[in-house]
Parts: sequence; C-alpha cells; structure tokens
Amino acid sequence: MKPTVVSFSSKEVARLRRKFENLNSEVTLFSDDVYFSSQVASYGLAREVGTVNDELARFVFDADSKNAVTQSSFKAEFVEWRGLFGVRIYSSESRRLTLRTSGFYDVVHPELSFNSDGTLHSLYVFPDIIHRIAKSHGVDLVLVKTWGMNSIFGGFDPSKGYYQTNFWEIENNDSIKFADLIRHSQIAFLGTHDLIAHIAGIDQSHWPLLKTLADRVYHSIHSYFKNTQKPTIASLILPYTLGVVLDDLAQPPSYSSLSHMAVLEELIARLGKNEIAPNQPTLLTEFPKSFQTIIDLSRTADIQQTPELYQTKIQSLVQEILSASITGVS
Amino acid sequence: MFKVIMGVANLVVAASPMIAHAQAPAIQHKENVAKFNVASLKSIEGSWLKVAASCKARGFNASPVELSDTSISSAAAKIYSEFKV
Repeated sequence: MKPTVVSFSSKEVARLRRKFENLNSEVTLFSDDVYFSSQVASYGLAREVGTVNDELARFVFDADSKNAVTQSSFKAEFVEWRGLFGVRIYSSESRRLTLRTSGFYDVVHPELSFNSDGTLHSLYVFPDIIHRIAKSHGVDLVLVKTWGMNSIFGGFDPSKGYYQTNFWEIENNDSIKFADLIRHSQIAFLGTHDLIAHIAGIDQSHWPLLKTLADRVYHSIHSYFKNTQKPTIASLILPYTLGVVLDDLAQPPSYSSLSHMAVLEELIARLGKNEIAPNQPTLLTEFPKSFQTIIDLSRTADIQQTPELYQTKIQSLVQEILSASITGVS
Repeated sequence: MFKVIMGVANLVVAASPMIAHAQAPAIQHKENVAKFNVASLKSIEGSWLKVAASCKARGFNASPVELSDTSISSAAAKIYSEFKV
C-alpha cells in the first residue's frame, strides 16, 4: 500500500492552530496525542521546506552532479500511510538525491523513499516513527506552545528568516525553557531545525552529560532572575548566549564538545557574578559584537586549551552590554 | 553618541502612549521595564541583524559531508521493520 496524499485546507489548518493554541500546558508530550502531534510537526516541516527557514536543504545533494539541490526546488505534501500522518519532501530539480549529514537517513522512511540504486526520489518523514526512534534513545519529543505560536502558527512571511529578524528568543528568555526541556530528556519537534539539528543522529550515550549541563544552565539562569518579575533586554543577552552554546551541545555533531563545554562553564560563572542588574529599567543601545565571537570560539576545536581567549571575550561581552546600557529610574 | 540619541528617541516613542496614573509600585516597575525593553529592541535591531544567522539559537552547527556509510542505525532499522511496505 502506497501513502495517500492528503490535502490540508485552510479550514483544517485553522482547526489545527486552534487545537494547538488550546493545549493545556506549555509543553505537551508527543505520546499524549501522536496523530495530532504528527500533524503539527508535519505542518511545521512543510511550512519551512523550500524557504529560507529550511534547514534540511543544504544537506540534500544531487547524486549525479554532486551539487547541493537548490533550496527553492523543494516542495512538501502531506501524506497518510498505515494510520500515520507525515510529509513527503521532494525536489523539482532531482529525483536522485543523497543526504550529507550523519543520522539524516534514520529519519527518512527507507522503503518509501529509496530508488533501487540507493539514491532517494523523495524524503518520507513520519513524525510518529521519529518519535519512536527518539524514545528508543530515552528522549521524548514534545510540542512547545509558545514556540509553535511564534513560528509555524505565527503570521510570519515564509520568504523571510523568522529566526533571523525577530527577537522572541531573547525576549522570552527561551534559553531557560530549552535547558529545562533537555534536562528532562525532551526535544521539541516543530520544524526542520529540530529534525536535522537535534533528532537526526540522536545518541543516548551523550545524554547523561548533556542533561547535567542543561541542569546547570537551567539553575544558573533561574537563580540570576530569581527576584526579577520582568528581565531587561540587557540582562537577557548573557543567558541567550548560554542558550546558543547549549543548543549546539544538544546537536549530535557537537555532543560532548570540550570547546563548547569550556565556554559554557565560563558563561555560567560570569552570569553568577550578577554584573548586569536584571531588574533595573535599562535602555540597551547596541547588540554586543562579542556575542558572535564567543559563539565562533565555542565552535573552535581545542579552545579549552586557551582559556584566556574565551575568558577575555566573555568579559568583553559583559563590558559591551554595560557600556551600551543607559539605566533609568524605577 | 548617535546610538545613544537614537536609543533615547526610541524610549520617548515607547513611553508616549503611557498615561501617568497611580499604580501599585510593582506594576509600575514592570511597565517601566517594558517601556525600556521596547526601546531597547528598537535600538539594537540594526546591530542584531548584522549577527550571522548561524549564530542564533536556530542554527545547525554542521557542514555537509559525503558519507561513506549511508546505512541506518540498528535502532531505527528495528522501528522501520514494524512499518514495512
């Protein structure tokens, strides 16, 4: 039996959005309603496929030309098969595809997707199966209400990078939410980033360490904002930086990376110094340039052997934030 | 200096719809921070957009590599065996 293509009318999307909006809690386990969760994850994937927000595309190559397939040539359609809801991703440019990141093959249904020569004509992705693969590594896939409302169900323009142009990750202090998920062995599944960066290649042997790191991040941010009702933007930059480094650590290619861990520990230590008052109304006039350098350093091999490098940069980050801050009166 | 002037201008704009009235100090403080935050986000927008997308939380820190082994893991294979065509 072949998968059936399912049309998803705007009415059905509205129903899905309403049900998502009405979820009782911020975090919902996939296993609570696998079919609905699969619809949400498939819708999230489909919205991003072929757009600038598609994180899968740069890992899909044409078997003959050996070139990356053009991002905009990717299309997605919803499918149902053996009671599973999923998505078929295909390219109008090539029907002989290869994948170029470890773990990607695990999240694509092999029998449905492969040509007889081992190349792929399509990528059939069934979130229910992926949820089972993650579970076999001790990890639960989840839906996160505010993330879904801000991204896949938000009124964004798919032609623009919504993670690039808006501030909700900083403003909502999402680092603490992300750390909280990881320390509880959970990963969000709402789109292409979650699938390719966190789920493909998942390996339970790294998770005990990852959870310990996430727990440390969670507690350091929690303690920093303990007495703060509404944190200032200036005070959210350092936690945000921590979140980006932790996000890398939760990606299979960077699992247990000593460089990332060294930078993470220094950021935690710096946050503990409470140099930026989280509670004092503050006008931040510029986003610190050191942020990008710190992320680059965490991605540099063996950086842990030259701690003065990243320590100085993290000190500069704090200094830049303080220099660009004008404190008001409460 | 330009950024400071722009920041203060953003703060004036963010604060303008607010009408002063008596409120509990905690609420007033929260609203005050919110005004500063709106102005802060407006002020840092230009420098934020210059930060590479790959550095933001939704980036995948990996580059494409040709795989010598394209087989799937045994854990995945076991699950797919329950969903055979």
